[in-house]
Amino acid sequence: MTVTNGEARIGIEIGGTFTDWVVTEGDRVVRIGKVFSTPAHPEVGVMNALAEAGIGVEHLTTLVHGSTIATNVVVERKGAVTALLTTAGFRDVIAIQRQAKQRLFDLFYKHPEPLVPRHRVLEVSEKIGPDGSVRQPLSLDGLLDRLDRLIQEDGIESVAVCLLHAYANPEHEVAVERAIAARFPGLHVSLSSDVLPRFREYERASTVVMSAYTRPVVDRYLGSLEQRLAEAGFRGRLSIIQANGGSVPALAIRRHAVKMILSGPAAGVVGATAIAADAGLKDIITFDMGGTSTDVCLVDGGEPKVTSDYKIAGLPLALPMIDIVTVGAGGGSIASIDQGGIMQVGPASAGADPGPACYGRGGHHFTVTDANVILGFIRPHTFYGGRLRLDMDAARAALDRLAAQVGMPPLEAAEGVRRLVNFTMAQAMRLVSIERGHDPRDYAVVAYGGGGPLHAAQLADELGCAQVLVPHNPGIISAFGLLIADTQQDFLVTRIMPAGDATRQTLLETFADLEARARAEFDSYGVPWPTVERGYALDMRYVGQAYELTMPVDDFISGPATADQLVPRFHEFHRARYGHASSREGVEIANFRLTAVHRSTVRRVSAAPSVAADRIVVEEAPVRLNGRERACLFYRRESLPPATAVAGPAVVEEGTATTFVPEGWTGTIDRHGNLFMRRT
Amino acid sequence: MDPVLLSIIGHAYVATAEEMGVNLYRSAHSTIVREVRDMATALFDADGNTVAMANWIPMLLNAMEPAAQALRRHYDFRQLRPDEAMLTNDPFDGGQHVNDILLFTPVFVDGEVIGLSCANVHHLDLGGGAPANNAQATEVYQEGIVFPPMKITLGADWEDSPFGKFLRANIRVPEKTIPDFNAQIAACRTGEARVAALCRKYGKDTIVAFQQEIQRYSERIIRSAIETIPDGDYRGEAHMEDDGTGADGPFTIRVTVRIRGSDMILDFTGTDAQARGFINIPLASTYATCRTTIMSILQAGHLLVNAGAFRPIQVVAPPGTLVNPARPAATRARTSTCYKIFDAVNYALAPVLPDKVIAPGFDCQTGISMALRHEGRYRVLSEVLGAGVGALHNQDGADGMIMHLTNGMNTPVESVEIEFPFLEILRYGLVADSGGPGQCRGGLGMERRYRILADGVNFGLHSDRHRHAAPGLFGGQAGLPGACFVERADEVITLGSKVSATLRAGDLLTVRSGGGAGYGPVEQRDPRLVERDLREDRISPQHAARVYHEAQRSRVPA
Repeated sequence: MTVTNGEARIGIEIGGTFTDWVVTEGDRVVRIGKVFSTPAHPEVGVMNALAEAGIGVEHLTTLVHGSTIATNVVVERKGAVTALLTTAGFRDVIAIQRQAKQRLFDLFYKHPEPLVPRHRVLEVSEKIGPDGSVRQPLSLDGLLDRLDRLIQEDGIESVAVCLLHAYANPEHEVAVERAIAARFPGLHVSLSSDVLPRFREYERASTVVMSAYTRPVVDRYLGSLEQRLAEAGFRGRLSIIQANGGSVPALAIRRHAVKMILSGPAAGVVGATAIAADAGLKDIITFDMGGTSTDVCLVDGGEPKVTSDYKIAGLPLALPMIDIVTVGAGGGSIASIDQGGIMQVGPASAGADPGPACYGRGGHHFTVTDANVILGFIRPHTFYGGRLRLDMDAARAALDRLAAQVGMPPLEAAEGVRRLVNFTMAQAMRLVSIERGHDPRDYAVVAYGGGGPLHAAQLADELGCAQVLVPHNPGIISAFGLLIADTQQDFLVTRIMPAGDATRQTLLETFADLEARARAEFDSYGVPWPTVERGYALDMRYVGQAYELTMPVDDFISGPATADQLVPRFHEFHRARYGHASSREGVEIANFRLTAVHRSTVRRVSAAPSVAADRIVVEEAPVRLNGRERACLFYRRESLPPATAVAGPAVVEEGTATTFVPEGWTGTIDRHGNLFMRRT
Repeated sequence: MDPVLLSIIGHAYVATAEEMGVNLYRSAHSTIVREVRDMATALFDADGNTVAMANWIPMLLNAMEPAAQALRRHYDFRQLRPDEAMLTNDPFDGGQHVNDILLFTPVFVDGEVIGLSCANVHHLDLGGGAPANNAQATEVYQEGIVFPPMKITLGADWEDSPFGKFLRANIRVPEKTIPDFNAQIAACRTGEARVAALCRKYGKDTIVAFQQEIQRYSERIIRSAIETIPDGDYRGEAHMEDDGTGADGPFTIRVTVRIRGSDMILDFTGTDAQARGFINIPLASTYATCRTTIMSILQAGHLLVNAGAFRPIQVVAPPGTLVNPARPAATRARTSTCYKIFDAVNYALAPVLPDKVIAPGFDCQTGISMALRHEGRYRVLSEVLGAGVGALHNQDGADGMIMHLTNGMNTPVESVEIEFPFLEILRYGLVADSGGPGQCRGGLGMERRYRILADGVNFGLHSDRHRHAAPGLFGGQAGLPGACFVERADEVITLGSKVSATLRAGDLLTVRSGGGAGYGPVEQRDPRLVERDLREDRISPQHAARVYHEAQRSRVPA
């Protein structure tokens, strides 16, 4: 391929099974594809993707990369040998956690195992007070010798430091880091005041430990990747996607590897958001259905919702990240009956191997994909473009076993499986919308991933959403999102103060500190500060509440709003979220948040030019719907010209995905190649 | 009803109960609700039977139905008006200890009451003889105001209603308690709205039918689980060591578990008479404890725990005893006594369910309160300390966790220090060597150590097992007991397990919980686990030598 005009960029997203890639030139997608992932050496998968893309590496200006490496390190407990340094008296904070059980009526319940065992937690003699004052000076006596012993005995590679109230004054943490660096120059050190300067010691400690635990692994991986790329002649910029949906230079992520955790689904949300915006939709619910789970996110006014209240493998990760709700329901989810006679679908999954019964690889459980095959939505000869032969007999045998257990006719049981999985996925959508104060009827569903388009319109019906968008190439949305992502970092600091006392001056001063940090960070990326957009927000609460609401305050910083409007605005904000407000109670500020964004130059990318078909390819086949068999039209998506309307019930098939248009819905291909479904 | 629809609506109900609770704690103001999450939310049918409940404090969850049934003796739910609500905190008429107010609102669909929405909240302070917790109480009147089962009008202006004014005038920290009550009301409203939406979607008749069907489903499962236990009478007992008044203990809970086919009777005949101190268990708490204990032993899933699951289980609680005290018994510290029911039932069933029961943990509530009146306003901290959990047949007891009947979270050290400048926390951690030895070791207890920074801090504690810990199962040994003491200048003042005391600036206060008991003989412990515990300082070299290495040397090779 010859680069003619515009920057050539590639997005490469490593997933569990496939590594997806997208090449753009200027604002045009020129090629897409998939290669198998190489879990033992992920960088090989990246190089394979580059080779298959057939693009001259030396011409690439940018490679944006997404990888599950950091997520897997935590889930599979394969991180660095890590030590934790805490204030004397508090070594057990990560063992005790929040002391409560996450599951009731289970006498066998235990806390999730911390990433650092108890004997690798060292106590430091010091104490900072909640106001930042030094209550007990730092003493490093013997600390480095104890650490040295641990390094000798256990091979410590990485150290996390989390001292009490370090968010209010980081000087002790910084002094500890300096002392360690002087004596053990090769050791990675992560400070809680750097990673997450926010109060609540367990959540902060858990986050900084996760950071220290993932850092050496990610550092090694990126080092090795950079070397291979350099050898191949790559002279462009390597960027990495973070869980907040922003991309940053690889150098920055090597210090904050923890921000890569759960970045894959975030890239999908970024891609879906951009595609929807192009189609004129700012308020969407993204719906990504995979083999074992489904990811859902609410995007409001073009901005994905963000949370700092996340857990991975039972352990808190309290950094700002795109608020994606995951439920254990996917194509491979297994249907079963419990002893009281209730049907369940998931969270157990047949995974990719052996996979659903119809894959014919020895799976004998009846799964969601099997139900779709039995009911006629998936046709064996067109599945995955006909590349995978489906074993209908195995699917029927699995169904017969399930039907006998549940005491229902087999086809009714298969329809029941579809209803149940639709319900479970709809519950995730309810959670991000209704339960957080948003009316789903105001949102369009954007469906992608392998299974999403097959279920999306029925979920939309369930929630009252009137529109569903299925992008062109729904299987590679995450890789596409990599190229759209802005360069973004979030900065936060805890400063607890009565909101009524805040003046414009106090707000400006605290935000100025955050801006100085942000500026230094973006300077290190080579991004000119004047091109960086800034978003300001405060975490606020009633005096005495423990949970803050994050309220945007841009107009207080750069606009006309005055500080005395903060409190009344908070009452309204609280009422919108919880349905009540306490106008008699005091309001306080807990955290200051700054989001700094350098907009990606690629704001929109038009779809690959569709192959002009000379006729619409359509066949008729039976599908079972609401207890009876119906004749249904099956269209080849590539053959549908723009503006063609497809009336439901109909199925639209393409290489890696199948879309179901239910009765009462019409599907239309828009000018970008999206399949747009609307209730009629 | 088909098994698919039953599953769908069942999960929608559980999700609603969860949502009610999330909204409640996130908008509550007191640490006891927002951090500890000492609360419960549930949905009922129109006859006051539980249909679904959320994942909060089991004791409070399973206590909601007795309250609903008490209210039903006073009111016909189907005659309620939409702006009416019912509540009780009366320990002698459906309530728990007085701090727990159970609030019920009717769910209206097409002008008809088809169920109740309920939020149960532990309120920080409802008056009485001391802030939050009065260890000297011998009568309920000293523990706070009592609301017998009553109906109130609950409009937007309820704070200015007679009920609202009366409440505000009788409590020490209205700036926390009134917003907590508002959060409680909002939780009930969420439940009402969601059930009404389900009726619109699936039809009112379907939802009403579902409410009964899901109870039958649970009853089927629990009956089939009970049927696997051999018929017979199984006995167990456990003791509280004192009642806080200085009276000689022990105070003994005695239970006979009768299994007859798919029915189970928990008969407390023979249990000691009610105590003068505040350790008595209101009848509703006895029910709640029995249900929680049995659901845990039978490993009931979440969807299952509703009125149907309780039907096969009957409770016989003789009046005038610890498990069914007569007015005006004091009950504030009832939870530690409830744990003795939990222990007694586990002991009783151990011979027939050895791989399901658990050895006794520290099994006390260990509620800590700290209060200071400053410039005319009270600041009250109320928190709970976890402890060592008992061992099971195949695993060590959890170290430093909340016990199984309750599920209170800890309060972050930083939150405490930010909000309560009159104290500082010096240590929060596990206590080495406190786990009861055995083939499987009991969990480690923990301690919280405070430095008091102001004169006149009112400290309250209710716990137990400061002198004797309970023995383990099948040869497993007891863990270490708990402790509470103050270091003042050169003096160490030992306080009991049930205390109200006034502290001074400079005092160092330690509250320690005990360890769980072991399971199986110590000779059988895997030496690798001993080495791991040693490496991680969960046991000291002295303890390892004395308890484990000694035993393993004497072990006769098979």
